[in-house]
Amino acid sequence: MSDESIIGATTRIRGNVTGSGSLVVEGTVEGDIAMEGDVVLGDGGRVRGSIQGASLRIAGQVAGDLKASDSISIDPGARVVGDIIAARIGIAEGALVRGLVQTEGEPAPRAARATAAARSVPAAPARSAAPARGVASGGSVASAPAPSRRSIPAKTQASPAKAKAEDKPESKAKPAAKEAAPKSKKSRTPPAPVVPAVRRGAQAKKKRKAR
Amino acid sequence: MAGTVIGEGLSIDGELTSDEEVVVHGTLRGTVTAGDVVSVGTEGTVEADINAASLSVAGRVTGNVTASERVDIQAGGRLIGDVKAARLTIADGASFKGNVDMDA
Amino acid sequence: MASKSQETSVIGASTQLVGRVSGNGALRLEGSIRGDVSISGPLDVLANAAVEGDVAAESVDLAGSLIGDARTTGPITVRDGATVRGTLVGSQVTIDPGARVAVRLETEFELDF
Repeated sequence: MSDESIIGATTRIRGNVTGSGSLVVEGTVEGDIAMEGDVVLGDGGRVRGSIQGASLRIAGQVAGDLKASDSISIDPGARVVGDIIAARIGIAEGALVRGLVQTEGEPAPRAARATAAARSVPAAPARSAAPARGVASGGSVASAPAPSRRSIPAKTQASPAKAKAEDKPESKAKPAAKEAAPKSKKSRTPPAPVVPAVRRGAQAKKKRKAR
Repeated sequence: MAGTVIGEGLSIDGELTSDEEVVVHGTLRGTVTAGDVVSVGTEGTVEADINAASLSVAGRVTGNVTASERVDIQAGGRLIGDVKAARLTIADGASFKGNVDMDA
Repeated sequence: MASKSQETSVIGASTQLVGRVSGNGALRLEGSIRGDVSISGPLDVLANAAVEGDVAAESVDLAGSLIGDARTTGPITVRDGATVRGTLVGSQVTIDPGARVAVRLETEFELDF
């Protein structure tokens, strides 16, 4: 019981939530959630940030990516804008999802998106499209575990120049391409999760050093 | 199930606001603004300024506390920070370091 | 699915079709199609059936495999055991647990927060 956490309906958290137990969110979290146990987002729950856990059950609304080591189920009435990655994924009738949905071990459909974008009219014969998809999707598998949002600002803080230098070659590679497409989509919704304010980031770092 | 419970394994870095009871068995860093009771269990650690109706501390709190009603530091509880509250109790076996303002 | 008074075409289990399929009415696919499918009615892709190409239909019910995009005005349902790779655009996309998917869902809606 003490390892089970509840974020009540009137509770609002701006910041990151991490833990070993399970979590029920009925309120609002603006930040990333990473649990070792299960995460349940109640129908009134709102998360602007990513959610990670052993298994996730989503009935509320999420603007961010969902990743589970086991399974993810999206219940009727839920709304998710973001990528969903787990070995087992269920999206119920009446749930709304916009983003990538991927059960592990499958080639990522980033290539499919790339080809879809390349041909403005989807009339290309499948015969020619199929091999292209196969090759490109094979390559994009490696890029699938994209760096978490948290690690990006951290890198930039550490050595902005270096980070920029690293970004450039990458921007031609898959991760950037991956970022580009969802971003243009997400830009329609309010801005991305306001995650670590600098002060909190600094504290988190301090704590890590102290350990 | 009512209210917000930060379990033993949970750690929150950031701002928490709530109109209901908040129970902390885990770790909370940042700021806490609650319209109801905030209680910090024996295993709980809060490194945050707390603004609440009342606060009960059985664990550890580091931060300034403003309570519209009361602050109770239980036996074994530990509070480091300034307290602004109409009522303050410090139990035998509790520890407290900071200034107290009971003018409110 | 094909409950409407439309003609239902069937591509049988032993049929392998290469080329474009288009027309009115419903299509029940038991075999395989390499090529794009464009029909006015619902498309049923049974278990062991496969489409390699883009699909446009009123609705799609998938128990087999689809490598390609699907666009519908109605719902898209991906059943347990199905394999799908591509972009799915429909009024409602349902994925049963147990489906193997790597899909992009492009459903239009707003978040209310």
